[in-house]
Amino acid sequence: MAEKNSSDVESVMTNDKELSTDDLINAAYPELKRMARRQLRGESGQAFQTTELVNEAVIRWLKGHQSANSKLAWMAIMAKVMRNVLVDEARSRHAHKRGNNPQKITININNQFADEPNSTFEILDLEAALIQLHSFDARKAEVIECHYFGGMKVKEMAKHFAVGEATVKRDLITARAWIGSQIKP
Amino acid sequence: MNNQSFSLLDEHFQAIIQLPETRRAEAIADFEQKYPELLKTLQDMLKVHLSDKDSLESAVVSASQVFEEKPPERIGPWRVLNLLGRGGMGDVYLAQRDDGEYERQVAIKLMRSGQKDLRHRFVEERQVLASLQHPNIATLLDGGQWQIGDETIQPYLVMEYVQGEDILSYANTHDLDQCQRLDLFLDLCAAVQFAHQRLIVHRDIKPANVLIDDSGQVKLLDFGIAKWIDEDQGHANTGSMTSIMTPQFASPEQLNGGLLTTATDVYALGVLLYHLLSGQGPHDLKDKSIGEIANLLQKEQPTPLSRLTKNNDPAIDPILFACCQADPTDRYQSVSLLAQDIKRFVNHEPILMKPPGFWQSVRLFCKRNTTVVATAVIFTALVSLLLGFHLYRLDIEKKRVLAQVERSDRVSQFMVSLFDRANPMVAQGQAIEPKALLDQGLQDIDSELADEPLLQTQLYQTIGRAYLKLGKYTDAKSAIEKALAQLDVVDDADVERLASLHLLLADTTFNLGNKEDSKKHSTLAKDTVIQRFGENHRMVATALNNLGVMACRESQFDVCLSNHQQSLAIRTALHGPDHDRVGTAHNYVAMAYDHQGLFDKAIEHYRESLRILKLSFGELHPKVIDGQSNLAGGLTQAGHTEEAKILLDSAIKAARQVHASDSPELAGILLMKAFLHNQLEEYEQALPFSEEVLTIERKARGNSHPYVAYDLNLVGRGQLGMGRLDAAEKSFNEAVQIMQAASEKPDYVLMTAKQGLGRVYNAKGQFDKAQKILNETWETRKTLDGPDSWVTVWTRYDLGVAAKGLGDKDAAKTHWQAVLNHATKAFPPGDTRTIKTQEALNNL
Repeated sequence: MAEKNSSDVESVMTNDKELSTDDLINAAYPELKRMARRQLRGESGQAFQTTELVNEAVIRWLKGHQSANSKLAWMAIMAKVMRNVLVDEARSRHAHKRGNNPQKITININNQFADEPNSTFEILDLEAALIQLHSFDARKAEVIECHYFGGMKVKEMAKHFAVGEATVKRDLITARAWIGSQIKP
Repeated sequence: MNNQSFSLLDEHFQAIIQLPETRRAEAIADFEQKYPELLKTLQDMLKVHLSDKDSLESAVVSASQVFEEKPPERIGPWRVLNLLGRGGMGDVYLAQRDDGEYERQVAIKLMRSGQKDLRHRFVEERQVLASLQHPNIATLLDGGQWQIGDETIQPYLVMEYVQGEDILSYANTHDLDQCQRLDLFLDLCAAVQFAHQRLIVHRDIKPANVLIDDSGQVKLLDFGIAKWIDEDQGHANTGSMTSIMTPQFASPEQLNGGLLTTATDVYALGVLLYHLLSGQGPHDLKDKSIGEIANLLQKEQPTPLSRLTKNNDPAIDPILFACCQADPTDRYQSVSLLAQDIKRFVNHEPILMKPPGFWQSVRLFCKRNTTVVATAVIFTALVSLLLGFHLYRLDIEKKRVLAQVERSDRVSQFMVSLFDRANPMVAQGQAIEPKALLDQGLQDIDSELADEPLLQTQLYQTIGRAYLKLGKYTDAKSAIEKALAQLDVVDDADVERLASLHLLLADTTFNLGNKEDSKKHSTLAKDTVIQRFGENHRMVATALNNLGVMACRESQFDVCLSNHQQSLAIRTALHGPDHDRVGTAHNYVAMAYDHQGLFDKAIEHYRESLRILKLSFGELHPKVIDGQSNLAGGLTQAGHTEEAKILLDSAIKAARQVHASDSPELAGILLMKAFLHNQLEEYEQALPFSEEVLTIERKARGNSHPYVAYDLNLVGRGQLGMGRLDAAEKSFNEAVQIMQAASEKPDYVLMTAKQGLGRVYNAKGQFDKAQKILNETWETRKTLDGPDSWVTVWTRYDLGVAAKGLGDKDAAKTHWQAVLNHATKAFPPGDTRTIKTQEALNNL
């Protein structure tokens, strides 16, 4: 039920000190995912406007209660959701393209994904690198996530991670260079 | 690589990129010496860092591109031709029926929605929207739910496809002058006003929703859709997110999450008029966030139009100001008042609206410019003198005009004003209860309009009809009776009003279960109209139809049939053979035949009805579903159970999509399925359906309604078939009690219940009791249904069982032989009833 869902999320949000980001995501995930997909459909071809998406989410659920901080938290959550959605989709298309048997090199006959460019699947390499990066330096990975999947600005990320802007910039530069080195051998 | 080597890379990479280019090679060589195994990665990182390309971004963008959707091939029964547009709330497709049943192309709005709960509201409101038949409103044709793959269910609406240009670009490409633009705007106002009278608010009026079609006609699109979207998102009656997608047309209350009323549409109309006359909005909103816009709208008065373009008469400014006030109570209180002022402006007459923002501007001016307040005070004193005179003059003018305003217009204004009365703007987020609105309205009519009986009558009628729609029958009855008491019949219009009041009362009393009153009012309506206008009148057809229904319910089948046949003839004469009303009339004729046991005739009319209804409404319409189920009922009784099963399965599937799970409409369809299984003696399959129907009807109509008795009969039959004799006896007994309490005259529901009891007694071996009640039933049916009617004859089967139980084999044989003779003639070979009787005879 529409009302029920939104109030669930709202009650989650009012206690957000006690709840982890994961709890938040779990509560809102289906709806966020739907919004992300919708956003992607509407905006495909351009770098998507996550900010707008987040604004919408924030307005919708937090009507009036939101502080600047909760907005940043939501932006970070949306970035995570967006990453999940993109990776899931690429993964499932990749599986289709290769057929069920990963060993077998298939000739695509009348496959709806046959004409999919390989660039579609670069995201999977990015994902692998990002996971590895997370194990080395979690914040750097999160900065990448917030920036590339959530459209967050340096200033916003600095506030969100409670560090200086210079630190965020530094994180971003190293992380981008390292991931770049991993996905483009 | 591990954490440590990553930290090393981080550290050295950062150090190296800080160095001037000339010193980098040295640092890299240094690094190579210490950590040769990390050199390759460091070099790659530097290469990436210095490159213009951002491979991360391009990976993300490429991945997002796959989401570009292909349009679905079909949506429900509609074949998609192409994508017309894409919006935040959904996609719009051009589509066509490919079964040739509906030739025009339509626009389908496929909404993105995850909420299953929407379904119920959607169906209810779709009916309201379908009532918006106005030349300037794009008609809603159909609607339903659509599911693609694992995606959530998406509701869709099928709208009249309007080919045209939006109002702004039309006005510009055709180089319209101000008068022509205002003419278009007045048509738009008429459409909005029409909807407001029906208590429907648009909430998303903007140029993209106002098209001018190829014939130059204004067409307003998407009525009421914004509301669904909001409610889907959990915003019952509050701020419209859809409009926030186009903030330049949003009212302050939309941006602040306030209550949306007709005043919201007035605001949007004002903004649209600004754009139409000047190409700009009332405020400069460029590059502003939603928060900033909301703030600005509260604080700043709209820019006078005369300042935006040279060639505009400043006399229009007060009109625009009055639309675009931040506080809804400062705006025009109805669209018709706005339209009147525009007309007066066009005719160079003084307008009624005083410049409302004046004092506010003065206050703001003082606040902002404290240094010049002294000057302002003098200025103010001067202006207020002049203004006082001006207002005085306007007041006289207003009284004069109001006296001229047509009464019908005042009725609608009154209905619209109900919104505002029930709307202290502080009640944010609370849904407007229609019932509460009407109660308030009724009180106001009593107290405020005591000296205007004709106006009172019209308002009582309007409110009575609204109550009836809401299912508040007692309230409806008293409101309509008040109207009737006030009505003074003078001219033709009064005669029509009198008849329609009687029809409303007939409907209301029928719903209250009061048959005699209902019949009386239908007859009065019919006679009144015939006397004045002759036979061929829509209200005669309606009255005959009502009377037919009543007659059937009292088992006067020949009266029933003849009434429905007359009604069908009138409707065919009035509307032509393919009109949906004719379709409905065929259905009633079919039902009359059905009751008489003339199943072939019934099936013929059921089929014709279904054909016409599909033509008019598409597949997923409640009426079409009912049509399918009725045809299935006829086929079941005639023994064509295979076709009936197929029809019913499809009808039930559609009904579960279209109707709420506790709606009597759904019950009506499920009932047929129960009936079919009972007929085939598949009691185990029948009983769950019967019980579902009974539960729904008890809840919807109360425990003493005749429909509940009907359902009890079905349940009882299932229980009997499964050998649960005590339960069956209880069900049939309750049915008998309901029917005996409801009417002194016996009818077929009572007879079915009594026959059921007879069967239970037979099964329990209480053959005396069985024979007694079955004999009563047989005798009553002979007069009620005729001696040769199938139900009458079929009673004898059970009489045979009782006779056999009592040891009277001859009597049993006589009964069964009579049944067999009838069944062999009436039903196709292999019919269960024939076989059953044959077997009984064989076993004797």
